[in-house]
Amino acid sequence: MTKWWVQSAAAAAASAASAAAAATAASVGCAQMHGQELQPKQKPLAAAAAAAGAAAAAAPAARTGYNPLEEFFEADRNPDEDKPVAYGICSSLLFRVLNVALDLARREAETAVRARNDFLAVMNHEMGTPMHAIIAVSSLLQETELTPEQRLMVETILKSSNLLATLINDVLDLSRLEDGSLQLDIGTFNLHALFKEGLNLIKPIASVKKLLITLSLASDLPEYAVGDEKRLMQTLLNVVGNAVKFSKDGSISLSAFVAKSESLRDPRVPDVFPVKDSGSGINPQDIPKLFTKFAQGQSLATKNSDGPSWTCNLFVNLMEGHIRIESEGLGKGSTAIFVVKLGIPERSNELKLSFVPKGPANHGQTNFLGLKVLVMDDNGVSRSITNGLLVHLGCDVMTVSSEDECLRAITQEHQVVFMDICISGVDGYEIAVRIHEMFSKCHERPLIVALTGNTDRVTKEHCLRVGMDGVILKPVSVDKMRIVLSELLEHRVLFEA
Amino acid sequence: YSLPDLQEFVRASKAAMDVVSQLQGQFLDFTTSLYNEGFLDDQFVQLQKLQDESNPDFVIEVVSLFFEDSEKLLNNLATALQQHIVDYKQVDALVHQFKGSSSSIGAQRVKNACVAFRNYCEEKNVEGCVRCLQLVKHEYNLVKSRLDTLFKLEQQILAAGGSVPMIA
Repeated sequence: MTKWWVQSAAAAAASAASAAAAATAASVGCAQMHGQELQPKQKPLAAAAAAAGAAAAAAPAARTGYNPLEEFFEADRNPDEDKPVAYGICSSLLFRVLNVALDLARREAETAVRARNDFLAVMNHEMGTPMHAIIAVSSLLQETELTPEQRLMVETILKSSNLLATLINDVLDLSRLEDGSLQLDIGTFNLHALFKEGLNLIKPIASVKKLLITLSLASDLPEYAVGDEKRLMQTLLNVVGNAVKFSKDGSISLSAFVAKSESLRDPRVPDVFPVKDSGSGINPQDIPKLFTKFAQGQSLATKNSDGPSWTCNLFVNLMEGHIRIESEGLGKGSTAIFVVKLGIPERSNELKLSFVPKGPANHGQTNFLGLKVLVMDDNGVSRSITNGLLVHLGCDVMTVSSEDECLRAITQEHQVVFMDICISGVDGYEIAVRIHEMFSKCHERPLIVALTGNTDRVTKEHCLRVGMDGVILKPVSVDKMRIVLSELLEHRVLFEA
Repeated sequence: YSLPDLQEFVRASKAAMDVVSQLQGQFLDFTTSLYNEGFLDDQFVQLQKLQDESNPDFVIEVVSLFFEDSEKLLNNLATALQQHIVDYKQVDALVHQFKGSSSSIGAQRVKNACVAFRNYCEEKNVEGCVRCLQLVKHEYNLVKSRLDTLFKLEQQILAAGGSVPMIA
């Protein structure tokens, strides 16, 4: 057995060496197949890989009793043949060499792309800065006293600079698109707030032009959505900005609603945002030209100066939507409609609320909705507060200010009567007795609850004696009232300790 | 979309935002002082919780009601205490009302003054009552002017395009 081991080890070492040579030869061959000389860098790499492979091959064989290369020999072992099976080693080495080469090439390509993008970004900045200066100063120049010829000249400068600025931005975006790094930044955001913010940003310019802007959000528009907030805002600003730009007077209305989806099962909801303006209108024949990419060789004149920017169109496409513009003709204003697909967030913990959340009216307790309640309190201020409190919790509230009114107003439909027995000089207890009398023959008597500033034993006993179902200490907070109502409805009685 | 317009936007928005955060800071400082100095208590916080989209002016409505009510009560109290023979039951009833309304909106110092007032009513001490009326009137005026300032600050914030910070 030992003889066999020694023999195989020797053979393995020999074959490893030849395998290394074979591997190098193979990679040279591969490289040459692709019409390239093996790069100088790659030669030592290949050699190193081969050497490593050889060392790996040799080392285990040196250990007595264990040979991981056994598996290569197992299937093909033929004691009569002393030619070892070396192709196993050879192919694994080859793969390793090729992988290294490929990896290197990939990294070089990535570096090249990054370098190009960095270059473009730098150029963008370098070109942009003086560009912005030209635009800013030309704008200022426009505001000064100019002869008609001078004014024309300044306008030309401005127009051209604006186009150039747009071009610079588009080129940068184009490059980002090509290397796939233009991706949407998806996150959960407050859709309602986005519109309000957008509107606030546009308002200053609109008010300078004396344009009225209105925003209407459909009631079924979800408050939170999942999508690229920044780009949606950019698109919104772009579209609304155009509306402002091309309207000399009148109004702009922005509305957002949820479009009916063909497939009800589609969990992602397309939201439609039409922006109507009363601007100069657009010749219908020009509309198709507004959206085509600059890359398709549109002439500069009709390119993007009149419509949403190319990047804006791109973003909308990325959000699986589209933009279209409708106009009834020159002078009749136009409507830009953009549709995007946004996601609906799951009821999840990842909602980041940056403001104090205002509890919705029926926070957790929907069984108060429509609960019919009667409130008796002769103090106007405290009565309107108790009313506000119960309305906030979803109740259907009626208020009265005296006992007589209370007895006249109370019906079987009222489930609870809150009476404020801080009323000095009035026996608030008497009324409880009267209510019992009124409903003695009915099963459904309203629950009677006293609101008082004093819950000592005497007061409580008195309340019990006259047949009240509950006593609550004032002042009552929202949370406390919520608990009170659920206790009352569940147990039909509540006496606060 | 032209660059100068965009720059103008950014400048205008930044300026607006600065104004808003300054106002919001003022608002928060002022509100904190109201609670620290005992002019308002937790009940006022509860009131603000009742204000929402379906009831956007709740607080200012209730407070205005309180102001109206209080002016009437103060006048009636002054008249009642000027009578030749003071009807303490009536005076007490009026003070009780005042105590109820001030406590329900969280006007703590007014409420405390009313509590003291009621003690003098029980003792049928006319000078004590008159002094208390002055105190109650004084506290009422203090809280009224502070609430007016608070609402003005809120309006300024809203007019500048910001939102009013809520006390959690």
